[in-house]
Amino acid sequence: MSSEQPLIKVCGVEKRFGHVHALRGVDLEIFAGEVVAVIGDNGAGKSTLATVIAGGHVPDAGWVEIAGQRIEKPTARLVHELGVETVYQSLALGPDLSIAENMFLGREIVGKGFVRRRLGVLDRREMAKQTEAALDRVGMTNYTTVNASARALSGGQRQAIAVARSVAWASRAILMDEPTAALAIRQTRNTNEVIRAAAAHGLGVMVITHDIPNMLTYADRIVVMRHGQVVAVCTPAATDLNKLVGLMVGEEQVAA
Amino acid sequence: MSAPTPSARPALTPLAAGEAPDVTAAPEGRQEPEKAPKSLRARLADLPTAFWVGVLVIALLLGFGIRSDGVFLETQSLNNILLDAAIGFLLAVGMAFVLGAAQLDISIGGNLVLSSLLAAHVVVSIAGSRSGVGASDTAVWLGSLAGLATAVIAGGLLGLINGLIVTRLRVNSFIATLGTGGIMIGAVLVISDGTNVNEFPVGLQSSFGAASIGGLLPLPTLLALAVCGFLWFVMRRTRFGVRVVAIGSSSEAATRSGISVDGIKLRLFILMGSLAGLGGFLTIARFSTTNVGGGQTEALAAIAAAVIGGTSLFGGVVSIGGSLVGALLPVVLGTGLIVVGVSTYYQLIVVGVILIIAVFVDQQRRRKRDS
Repeated sequence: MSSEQPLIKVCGVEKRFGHVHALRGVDLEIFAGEVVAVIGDNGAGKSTLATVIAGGHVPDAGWVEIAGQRIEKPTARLVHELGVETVYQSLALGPDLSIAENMFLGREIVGKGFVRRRLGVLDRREMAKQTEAALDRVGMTNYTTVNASARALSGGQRQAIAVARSVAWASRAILMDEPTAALAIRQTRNTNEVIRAAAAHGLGVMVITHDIPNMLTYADRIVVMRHGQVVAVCTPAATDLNKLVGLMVGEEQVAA
Repeated sequence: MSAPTPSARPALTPLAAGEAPDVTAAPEGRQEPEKAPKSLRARLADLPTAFWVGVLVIALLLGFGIRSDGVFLETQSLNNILLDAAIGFLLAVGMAFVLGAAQLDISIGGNLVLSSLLAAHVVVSIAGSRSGVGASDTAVWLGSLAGLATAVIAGGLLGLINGLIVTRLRVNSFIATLGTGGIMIGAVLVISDGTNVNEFPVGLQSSFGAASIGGLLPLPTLLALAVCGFLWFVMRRTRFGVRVVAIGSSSEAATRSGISVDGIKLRLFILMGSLAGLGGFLTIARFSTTNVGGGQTEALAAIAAAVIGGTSLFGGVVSIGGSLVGALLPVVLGTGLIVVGVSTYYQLIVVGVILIIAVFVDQQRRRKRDS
């Protein structure tokens, strides 16, 4: 954590879906080099918050700042361009696309020269090369070829691809929605290592999770949400599992 | 990844190789190389649907050839088959694109007829004559090119309307194009009052619409195949193709990736419309008349052709070659049945049966592969 400007600043964000008041004035800051865990019961607004930051929802009130720049018209593309990547709970992979195509979807490398550029002719060789490098960085080696379709992969492999994609493209921050929910213990540990390594390289990481014990080890700060609001922000050292669960379900008064 | 991001900072390469532990030792993940060499049966089962439909088409050609004592395989007959298939090629490949993004365009029949009617008026006003002769060569050329441009642009604009209804009004593409298709067919009847335009210059038909190279390769078919070849390239080798498949494969993944899903859909409907317009021009060029009562069957035929060839009705899987083969099948059947003296009414029945079998087999194989 540093005293400088936050990479991501969420200011008074409100979001309604019909009668559901999903976010009720959320404020949050994520700094370079820190891992922020966001916990809360189902329906607390965690995923909505991540989607708002990622440019997937336009807030009804409030705004998001990325690197000091207020996002007036949020779109997924703009947020990507500002260096913020998201690993969605669904992973957001196209099952019929190859690993490389998924890795580059929306940011495909096109060949050189006027005609290729105009037609958008893919440089598949370069895409494959960079995909292999990106998978290598997150320790994924158990695939036959980056031209294999995502459908043919296991859940753990798909998850690794989504994480590799975010790590490869993020230049400021990574948002992860339940990155370890579907993983075995060993894979969970690896994902945590990847998260820590990303933070060590100066990225800000926000992790939405139900795995509180894990985050007491890996997170720098823990943000507790309830009913669409942030009810507590604490460091792992200053809290414990019972207190956090109490905050999540509302038995304990805010003591942060 | 070193691809440039427009962000202020250079893209990071946060994790050096080997820095993260190997997740992949997880038992479920490891993919062993194929065990034994595949049996012939397994290898045959791996071949795409398009291959088997292709085999079927060739078998039909040979079968009809034998039954007709070779008449069916004479150049004249093959030339007719190829000519008959030209419009089907265009529409099936266009439909494969549309289906690839999990969209539908039911309006292409109406579009084809309306575009052909508008083009017909342009051709006739520049180079028309009641007797079919009289206009200068230059006028015929000009009229034909203007007609071609009119048909393609009109078709594209009609496609644009479809695209706007789908992307702006958020009406499901099946319903949207069912509606616009009806409107187009109605508009044709209103504009033409049920009367066909047929004062075309002879040259359009004799030098292009019904002309062939060597009596075997019809010019309209060559044009259609050239367009389809380009579209194959677009589907397999370009950003646009990948994004079309991405939308059909996972609309969520496409949206989250930041690509303009609506922009791609809009372009798809324009593409499909332009191809229908081109088909309209080929119709008038070949028959020297419009067909204001038509437009009812093209959409379903194109969908059937694409799906028989292995394109998924639900998006994400596109086969351009398969669509071509799928479009050829009903033509071969129709022509063959005439040659062997069986009523062509059976063509519809046979194609229907093949459609169902092809989709059934395809689903079985996918299920097997995914499990």
